[in-house]
This record gives sequence, C-alpha cells and structure tokens, in this order.
Amino acid sequence: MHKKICMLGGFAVGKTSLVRRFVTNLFSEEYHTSIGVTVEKKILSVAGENVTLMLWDLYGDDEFQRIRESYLRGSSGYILVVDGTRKETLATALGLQRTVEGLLGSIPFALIVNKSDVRDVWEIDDAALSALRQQGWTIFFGSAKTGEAVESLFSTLAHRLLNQAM
Amino acid sequence: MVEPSSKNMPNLTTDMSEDLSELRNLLLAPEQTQLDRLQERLDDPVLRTHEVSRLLPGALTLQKDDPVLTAVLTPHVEQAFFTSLRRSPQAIVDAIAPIMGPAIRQAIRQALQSLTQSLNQTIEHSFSLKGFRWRIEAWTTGRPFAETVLLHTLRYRVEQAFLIHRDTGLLLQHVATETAIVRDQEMVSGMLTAIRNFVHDSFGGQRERDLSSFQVGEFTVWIQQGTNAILAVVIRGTAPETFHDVLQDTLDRIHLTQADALVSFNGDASSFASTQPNLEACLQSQYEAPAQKPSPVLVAIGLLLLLGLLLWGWGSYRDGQRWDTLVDRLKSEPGLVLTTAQDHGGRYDLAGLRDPLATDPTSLIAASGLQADRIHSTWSPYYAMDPQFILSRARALLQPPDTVTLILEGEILVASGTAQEDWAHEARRMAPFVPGVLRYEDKKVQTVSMAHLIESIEHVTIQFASNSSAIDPVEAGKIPALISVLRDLDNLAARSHQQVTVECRGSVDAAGSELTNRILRKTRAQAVCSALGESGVGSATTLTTESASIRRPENQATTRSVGFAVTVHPSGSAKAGHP
Repeated sequence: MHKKICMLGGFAVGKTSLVRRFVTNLFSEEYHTSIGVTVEKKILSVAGENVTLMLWDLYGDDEFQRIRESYLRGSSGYILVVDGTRKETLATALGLQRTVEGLLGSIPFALIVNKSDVRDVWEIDDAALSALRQQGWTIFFGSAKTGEAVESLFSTLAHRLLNQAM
Repeated sequence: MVEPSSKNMPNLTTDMSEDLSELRNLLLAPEQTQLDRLQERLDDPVLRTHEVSRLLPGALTLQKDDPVLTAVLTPHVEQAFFTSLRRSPQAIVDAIAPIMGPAIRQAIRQALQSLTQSLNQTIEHSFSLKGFRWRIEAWTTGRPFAETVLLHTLRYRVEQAFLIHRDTGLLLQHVATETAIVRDQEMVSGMLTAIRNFVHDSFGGQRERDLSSFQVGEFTVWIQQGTNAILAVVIRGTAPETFHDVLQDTLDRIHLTQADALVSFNGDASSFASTQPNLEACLQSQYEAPAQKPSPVLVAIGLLLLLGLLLWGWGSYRDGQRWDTLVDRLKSEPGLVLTTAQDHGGRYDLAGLRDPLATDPTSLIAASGLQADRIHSTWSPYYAMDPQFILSRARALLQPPDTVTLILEGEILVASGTAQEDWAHEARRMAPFVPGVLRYEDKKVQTVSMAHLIESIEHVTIQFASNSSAIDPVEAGKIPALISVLRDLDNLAARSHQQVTVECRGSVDAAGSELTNRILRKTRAQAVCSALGESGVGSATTLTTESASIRRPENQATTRSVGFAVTVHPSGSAKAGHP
C-alpha cells in the first residue's frame, strides 16, 4: 500500500528536518529552492501491513502562503508543522489547513509543534492548541532535534489512512 | 342404565385405546407416512449422500465469496493437491506442460536472442581498428568488452519504464533492463511527478503542454500522458519518433484494461502487476546494423566494369596517340600532301595527294598500330616537285645504263657518262616530258657503238708469268673495266636482239714442250673466263675457251697472255665460228 503525504508549514518550521529525521534521503535539498518540493519515502509497518509513505516536503513560504496546488493533488493525508517558538507559524498552519481542505476536502491530517526540546521559550500556549484538539485535531509535540514524537506522528497518520481506506 | 362393572373395565380401556388409535390413524395417517419417510431419509446414509451431492454444487456457488468456506476448504484442497502430485506426478506435468512450455520457451528465446546479439556485436568488432580502440576503452574503464561494444553500437535502448498514477504520483508498475541503473523507483516516480507538475504550473497551463521529454546526459526521459496514468521511459541514445506511438498504444491499452483500477486507486498497486508485459514490450533497443557487405557477384561485376572502363580509356588514349603520330608521319612524308585528317570517335578519315613514287600510305597506316578497317583514306595522284622525286621520275622514264649518271641542277636534268647512241637519242627525246624537268643536257655523255666496244675488248690482253696460269694482281686490275665494257656490249646486243660470244684465247712463249704449252694455253684462257664470268657479263653474252688454242696454235702470239675474240650474231641463230 502506498500513500502520498504532504508536509506543510511556514518558513523554517522544521518540516525538512522532521522528514530527514524520519527517512533516508535520496534527493538533494536543493530541489526545495528550485521546484519547491522534494519527495522522500518511508516504509512503515501498520497492523502487519507494509505502508509506503511518499512524503512530499513542500517549501514553506510565510509571506504569501502560496503552495502549488498540483503538489497537493492526490494526497491521502498531510502534516502541518508549526515552530513552537514562533507564534505566527501556527496561524500559517491554520491558513494552510483551510487551503488544503478547500482543495482536497476532509482528509486525515496531523499537526506537530516542533522544537519541544526548547519548550521554555515557546510562544504558542496550550490554550490555542486545546481549542484545536476540541475540534478533533490530532496534535503532537515533537522535536526534529531529539526525534521526539516523530515516529508516532507518521505512524499515527498512517494508521488513520489505512483505517480510512478500509 | 347399568353401571359398568369393575370386571368389565379392562375391556373398556382396551376398546378406547383401539378407538383412539383408529381415530389417530384416520386423522394423521398422511403426516405419519411423511414422518416415517423423513425418518428413513435421515437414518439412511446412502440416501443422504445422494441428496447432499445434488445440493453441494449449488451450495458452493452460493457461498463462493465466503472467506470462511475458502479458509475451510484451502487445507483440504492443498492436501488433496499434494497427495495427487505424489501419486501421479505425470498427470500434473501433462496438465501444466501446455502452460509452462511456451513460457519457458519464450524466456529461453529472449535470453538466447540477447546473448546472440551480444556475441554478434562482439565478434564483429573484435578484429577491427575500432574494436581495438574499444578494447582499450574497456580496459581503462573496467567495463567488459562486450558491454563496451554494445554501448558504442547502440542507437537507443529503453532501460526503464514507469507506470505512474497521474494524481498521486505513486508508482503503479516499473520494469527495467538487467543493465539499467535503478535507484529507488518509487521516489523517482514521485519526483518525476513533482517536476512534471512544476513544469506544467510554470510553463504550461493546458494539459497538452505537459512535460513530454527531458534529457540528462546520455539519457532521455520520454513522458507519455494519459487520463489517469503516465508512462515514463528512460532511453539511452536516440529513439525514433515513431516510438511515441508505441508508448501511446501501450498507455491506451493499460487504460482500457485497468480502467476501474485506475479510477479507484487507493495506493494498492498490486492489481497493476498484470501490466508488466505491456511495459516490458516498451523496453526496446536498436543497434547499428552491420555495414551491408555487397554481393561478391556485384563486386566482380563492378570490378569488371571498372576494368573495362580503364581498358577502354587506355585504348582510346593509345589510339589517340597513334592517330596523332600517323598524321604527323603522313604530313612529313615526302610525296604525300595530307588535306584531311578527321577523328570521328574511333573512326578516321584521311584524304590527300600522293606522288606515285611516294611511300604507300597503306603501309604507313598498317605500321601505325591502328586498325586499318577503322581508317578510310582517299589519295589523289599528283607529281611532287621535290628534286629526289624529279630524279626518280627521270630515271624511271629514261632508264639510263649504269654508265650514265643523272643529276638535277635546278630544273635542268644533266646526264653524264657513256651510253649507246640510240639510248642517248631516246633520252634526248623523252627527258622534256619528265614532270619537273624544264630542260635536258647530255653534253657530258659519250656515245658508243658495238664495233667500238668489240674493238675495245679485243684490244685488251691479260699477261701471265712464265709457266703460270694464275692471274697476277696487276693484271687482275684490268678485269672490272673489261667486265663493264662487256656488259655495255651485252646490253646493246640485247636491245638489238643479238647475241655475243667472247672467246678467251690463251698464248704461251716459245719455251716448253708442245703438250705443256697446249695445257698452259687452255688453263690461262679458262682462268680469265672464270674471272670474267664470276661477276656476270649479261644474258646475251657467252664466254668460251673452246678450241681456240688447239686448232690454231701457230697463229697465236708468242707471248704469255690471254686475248679476246668477239663475234656477234642474231639471237636464235647458231653461234658463228671464229674466222
């Protein structure tokens, strides 16, 4: 089973770092600045079944929040990445979520607040996140630096994708 | 009414029971019969087996999608299959042979074709200069020689084919040649889709403006677009444009056979395994055809034609040279005036004037080496005014005796020497008619008569030493002059139809015996006759020693010499005796 997942988030929130933490890369990061995306692959075992996640790591752009719609097309799910130390990245993520939902409809997604290793300097408070949780959002606190919650982020989403498929 | 007695009670009970039984029989008999039959069917295993066998196919058909039934039956079917395989393997072999045979043959054929192609290419290039260069390249790059040959003779080879889901960019199927360098095809598929999307968003806008090909070093990637799937192939070298049709046909076929699977694709690509043969058919390759070796017959014909052309060219050149030489020769030949000399492509025309005394042009043509039948020549007669021709003409016409010399002084023919009177007279008459001669002079010609010549001959004596018949060298000096005179006489006699007899008369001195002297006279006469006769004196002249000294020894001078007596008589008459 193969699934396409998009990594979305503002500029320098740590999307690529999370992906690189998760996969063995094949393509150069330069693709980000050239065509705005790199594609990575990770094989997970979910409930005894191998699931291949094709991770489309989209280049973040806070200012315009522009994303290429064509890159999103065909996605089974997506991951929103927020930098805990920059409050505005949450707003960016919320905007992106609305955009994607508008394009692809309601498909599984998860949000990860990155940089949990420096939680004392976070600007994002729990209240805002709690409100999102109440709306049914799946939210992780993780760190690309320490690897915290990275595996669980992807495997949780993979589970949801499979369950949705069944 | 009488109460029934107690002793009658059993009878009453029995009767009631019978009645009830009868009543039951009357009321439930049909059902009872059915129940009995049912009981019988349930109790009889044979009957039940028959009934189940009738129902089983229908029951299995109804439950064909039931996973439980499949799970229950699978171990039994497997067990039965293995048991059957052990018991009669031949039956299984017979059953699967028609299916496996063609597949195995196909695989072997493909492997052999690949091997043969590699071998052919390798052998063909093993011993050529190019092959030597490639061998060095193989040695320096560490690649096998056969592979180096294949790469160099390759026009194109499709090394990989990707069937990609259009929307998700997920890989549906992938095939590659054995030699292709395959990195993670799923990531390549995703990235290829990303790049295609990027190009489309950046430069396209319409579907037909999608990325259709790009080139990376020696590789070209062709992307064929379909409604729900994309076919991308990696080509080494340059494929013909017609290969696009192959790709489009393949993609169309896949869309046709996999229409539902493509529309409902949810990430499970297993159903696209069946497209593998379609993609493998796209892994085409083409190598440089070996240079067509011309047929030996054609080569031989070509060489013969070339040889013929060379020979014809050489022949033409040689004939041209010979013709020029002949024309030069004819122009320079005395007595010939060439007025026309034309070459009509191997046919020649010659025309001109020819003195009758000039060299025959036919002999010059024959000597030129050109074929005489290719030369048409016309010669008109004329008199050449060259001095040698005028002299030749004069000699031919006047026929002077050897004692006369003719020379040309300007236009004057001058004769000198001795000649008979009648010749001198005739020459004086004829000479002006010789073309080129204006005047004739014969002041230097001394005319002679027969009597004069006879006298001159008889005046000569050849002296001998005592008792010798050998002509000494001093006396021998008189012989040539005597011969010349004898010839003149002979010539005159012949012209006047007369014959001459010259008798050599030997003489001796008074010494010696008569016999000795007679012999000596005879041998001296014979010696002189022989000396004169050796060079010939003419057909009308007879030399003789006959009887001269024998009959009239007393009349001979008493000197040691030989003298001559000449007699002339008409031709055909008997020789006159000496007076």
